[in-house]
Order: sequence, then C-alpha cells, then structure tokens
Amino acid sequence: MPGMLGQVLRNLFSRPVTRNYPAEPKTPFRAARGTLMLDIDKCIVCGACEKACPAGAIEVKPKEHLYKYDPYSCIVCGNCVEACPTHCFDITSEWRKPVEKMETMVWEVTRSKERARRTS
Amino acid sequence: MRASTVVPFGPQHPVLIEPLQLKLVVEDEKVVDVVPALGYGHRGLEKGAELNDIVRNIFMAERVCGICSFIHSWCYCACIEELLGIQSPPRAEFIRLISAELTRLHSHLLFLGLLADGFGFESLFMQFWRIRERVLDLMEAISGGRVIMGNCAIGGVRKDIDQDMARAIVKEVGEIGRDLRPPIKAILEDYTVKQRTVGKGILTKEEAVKFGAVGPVARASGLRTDVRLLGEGPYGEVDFSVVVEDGCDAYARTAVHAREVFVSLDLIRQAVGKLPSGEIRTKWKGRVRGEVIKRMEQPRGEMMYYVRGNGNRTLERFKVRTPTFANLPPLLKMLPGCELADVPVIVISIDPCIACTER
Ligand code: SF4
Ligand code: SF4
Repeated sequence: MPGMLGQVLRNLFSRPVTRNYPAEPKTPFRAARGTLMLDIDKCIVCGACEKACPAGAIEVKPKEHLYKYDPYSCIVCGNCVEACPTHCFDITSEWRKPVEKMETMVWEVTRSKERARRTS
Repeated sequence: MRASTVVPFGPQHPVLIEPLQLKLVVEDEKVVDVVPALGYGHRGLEKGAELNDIVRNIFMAERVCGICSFIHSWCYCACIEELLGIQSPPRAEFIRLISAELTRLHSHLLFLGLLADGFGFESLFMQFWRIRERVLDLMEAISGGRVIMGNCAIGGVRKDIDQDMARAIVKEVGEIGRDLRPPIKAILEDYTVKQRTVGKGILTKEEAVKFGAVGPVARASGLRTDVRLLGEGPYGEVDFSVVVEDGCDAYARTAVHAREVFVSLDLIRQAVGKLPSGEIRTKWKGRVRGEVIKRMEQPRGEMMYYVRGNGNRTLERFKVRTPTFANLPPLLKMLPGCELADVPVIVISIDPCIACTER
C-alpha cells in the first residue's frame, strides 16, 4: 500500500478525471461512429444495404414500396454506407439521444424507374 | 477421512465478469478438486457465421470477444485474403498492427485492474482503469469504435491514420507510458499484492507444455511462446522482445502482463514511425474456395481460425479456438491444493475470457 501513497496524494489534490455529465457532455471524436443518417430521397430501392447489413436492421420491400430501418438493431458498422450505390447514408459522430419509445423508421419509397414513369 | 463439500464458484461471482462455473471440492479450506461447468455464454457464433456472407462475417468475428475484438477481425480478414489470393497494402498492415497493439494494451490494463479488484485493492483498480480509458479514447479517435473498432475490412482497413493523428498517437502513448509507471510499480512491488499472488496457482514449465498453456500463462511458466515471433505480416518489420518470467505463479503472470504493456506501447510507437505511405485497401472480387488455418497472438494467447469455403456466398465451416479455451486445462491444474480464498485471484490470473471461449 505505501507504494501507492504518492499517487493517492496526487489524486487527492488534482481535479476529478470524470466529466460532469450531462451538464458537460463529451465532444465526440471526428471519426466516431455515432448515428446513421439516411437521405431517403436519393434511394433507388436496390436493396444492397439490406444485403450488407450484418444486424438485419434494414428491410427493403420494393413491391410494397416500403423501406424500414430499425435504429435500435443497427450497430453503426458502416457496411451499408459502403454498399449503397447512390450514397444515401452518412454516419455522424453524435451519439443518438436516449428515447422513451423504440420505434422502427418507415418510409414510403418507389423504384427510380417507377418514379420516372410516374413523373413523366 | 475428512468430509468434503462442493462449493459452486460462479457463474455469478463478484470477481467474475463472465459466467464461468467451477465446482470446487473442498476439504476444510483446501480445494482438492475442480469440476468446470461451461456453456452459460454460448451464442452459436460459428453456426451463425456459416449463414452470413463473408463480408458480414467480419462484424460477427469481431464480436467473438468483447475485449480482443480487433485481432479477431484481423485474423478473419487475413484468412479470407489468403483464400482470395489478395494481399492487403503495407500501410493497412501497419494500421492493423497499431490497432491490435492498442487492443492488447487495453486488455492488459483491464486485466491488471481486475486482478487488483480481485483481492480488494480498489484504488489500484481505479488507477489502471483510468489510464485504460485513454487507450479507449485513442481507439475511438482512430477507428470510430471505443472497443469494437470495426476498422478491419477484407483487403485492408477502413480508416486511415493521418499526420495529425499519428503525432497524437505518439504523444499519448508516451504519456500513457509515463503515467503507468506508478501503478505498475505498485502492482509489482506492493507487499499486499505479493502476499496474495506469490506462490499461488503454480503451473510448472512441464505442466504448461503438457496442458497446452498459451500466451501470458505459458510465458509466466518460462515458455518463450508468442505467435508474433513468427514475424508474419508487419510483426516481421518491428523489433520487440517477448516477456518471459520463471515464477510459474500468479505473480509471474501479473508481471508478464505488466511488462507486456510497455512492449505494446513501444510497438505502437515503432509502427507509427514506420507507417508506409500508400493505399489502405485492396479491391477484391469473387468468392472463397478452399480452406485455411491462421494463428494470431491475442492478449490472452494464441488463437486459431479455421475457415473453409466452397465457392458459395457463405462459408462452409468457420471454427475459432480462443486462448482461454486452451488455458482452462492449466487452470484446472493450478487450483487443486490451494486455499479457497485464493481461488478468485488464481482464476483471474489466467485472464479468463469466457464469452469467446464459448462463442
Ligand atoms: S450501419 Fe451497419 S448495422 Fe446499421 S444499418 Fe448500416 S449495415 Fe446495418
Ligand atoms: S443501398 Fe442505398 S439505394 Fe439501395 S436500397 Fe439501400 S439506401 Fe436505397
């Protein structure tokens, strides 16, 4: 125990190393994988992200025009970011805030061809 | 004849962070026999990996263990690269080495803290974990993941280390090394620590060979064994010495871990200094066919991967032999004859990782 005395005294007179959370939140690192963001307008409903996702967080249903993303299954691995041909995804360094209710995000999507047909 | 009693140690026990059960047969306060009961943490990862495609398996492999995670993904990617016949660029290999050594560093600091906690030296535990937090910060700054780095990819790595980051790593590694000296001095020289570890859990050199000990457990019994010594990949281009102790007891195992911390710090410094320029990822295409076995040195010892593909989208067989799996028979050899109160320290001294043992 005496070997630790110097360290113990230093600890006694130094500032705490812990942060006063939540008053002082941590500044995230630039590279931190915090939250996955999806720009659904760019999506061509190809399903590549669904195939790439190791956590099964994405479900693409072209026939039903549905795109489902469960942020609470997502492990923010970034595999879908690499797989998406139209760069729909982005990972921000901010961590997701706590929520009261866990909800799957659902979007209505149309395949690009159909969308083109509809608008023409 | 003395009456013997069976005392279950675990699966939930204050010193165990993972569910391992040892049924201790005790006579008075002396342990005379040990029967292990495993299987509490089985997740069916090997089977799961046979259902996933090869890219998604990287994330699966990384989650075999929650501590030595990066080296799992590295070993898996190295297996797939060999089957695909591709080579990851030298810069990627060095970034992998840096990530792997950071993993080893935080794992060893975790061990030293837990060991101190195991015999009630809470203050020392806090000192180690405070410094470990800085290693985790470094890992997050490099890769984006605090423990599960998610940085390894087939054919290289996903995130590069730029000039500023390289400088920051060298600076932080220097400071960590300096700040680690007092707690490491305490754990190696303190009277209380020595009372609890010296002469406890003896595993002689012959027994270490016979029972197939690996990693720090084997090195603490005087065996000079380390997969890194084979010089595969970037380990052939850096200088390092293997820490070997002859004490054969829990103290020697602690000392191996404590001294290896500095070896890892030095390896990181060297690797950052020698970081080659160039690409960090090789492009690849195709499916895997054939089989491969790879070994790598985890913080807890030698790990073995076996991967077999038959040209399908998924793997045909995926098998992992983790270091704690190899270190359990030596543990069962160490325990008989010890005092009941020494069991926690002896169990922790092999740095058990049950989740990865059971996969
Ligand atoms: S980040 Fe990973 S887990 Fe999350 S949706 Fe994308 S692929 Fe799935
Ligand atoms: S990979 Fe991109 S474009 Fe394709 S379905 Fe997913 S989000 Fe849409």
